[in-house]
Amino acid sequence: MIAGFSLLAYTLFIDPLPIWRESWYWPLLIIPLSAGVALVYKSIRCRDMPTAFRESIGLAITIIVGMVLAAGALAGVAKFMH
Amino acid sequence: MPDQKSGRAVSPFLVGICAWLIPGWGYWLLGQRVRAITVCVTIVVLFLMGIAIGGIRVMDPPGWGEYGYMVQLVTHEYDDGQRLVERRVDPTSADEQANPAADNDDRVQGPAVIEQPLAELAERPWFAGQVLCGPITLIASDISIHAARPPATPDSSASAIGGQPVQEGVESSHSRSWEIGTLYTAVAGMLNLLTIIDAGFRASERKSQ
Repeated sequence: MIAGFSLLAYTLFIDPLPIWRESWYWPLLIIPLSAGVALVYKSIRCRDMPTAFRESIGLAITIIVGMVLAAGALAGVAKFMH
Repeated sequence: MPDQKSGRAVSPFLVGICAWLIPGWGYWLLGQRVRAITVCVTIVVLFLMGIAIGGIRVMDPPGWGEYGYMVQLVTHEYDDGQRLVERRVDPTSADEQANPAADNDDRVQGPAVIEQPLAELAERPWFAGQVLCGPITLIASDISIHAARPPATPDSSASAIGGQPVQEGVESSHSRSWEIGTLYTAVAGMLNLLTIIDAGFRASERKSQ
């Protein structure tokens, strides 16, 4: 409810996205970043662009899965240490 | 593919400069248009997403303070004339920026970004990544500086002296939104650095053939 009111006060490109409150969607912001990194990286590495588009999908998925696994492992370590 | 057919020889230096000015322009000069458009759209979208997530204040250029005015360096000289204490003044108004001295013993050194440019950059190292996106970063930084300035009120200077806290024009973001916004804009700049190097390398290879 509170997050809904915060979003109403949000002005695009001026105000920060209200993700400091309890919100479920902020971890999803890793997806566009990973897709962008993968697409530019494969555009540089591949000789032709159709191959780059194809391979960037696989790389983006690899990055996201890797980040999720790293987050899970770190959360496990933090819980163990606590 | 048009990417592989054209083979114009262009100076690698020119390609590098153009690739910084507009992401992907270096590839465009080499005739690799699909690659150029892909890289340009991706980098600009990542950069704009960073501002959409963190707000315009995520652009935080070195040398400018919280209220959008240039940080000034002031030295305070004690009565014995020996001890000088340097302090940073974050002005809240144009008047304070022009005259940041608090009393007669204060000596104004000048803007911190001119006096100590490396120290200022070291305080905001993420700007080094952001600025690699090209002039779009400088334009966004200028908008951010102007947005940060407190709204003009008839007694704005009096309220600052009277103990009322001065409000920023647009408040800077904090915590997750600032971190993720900065990450997006800095990563966009670092990706553009990769494309600058790659386009320059391709241009030098073509020139040597």
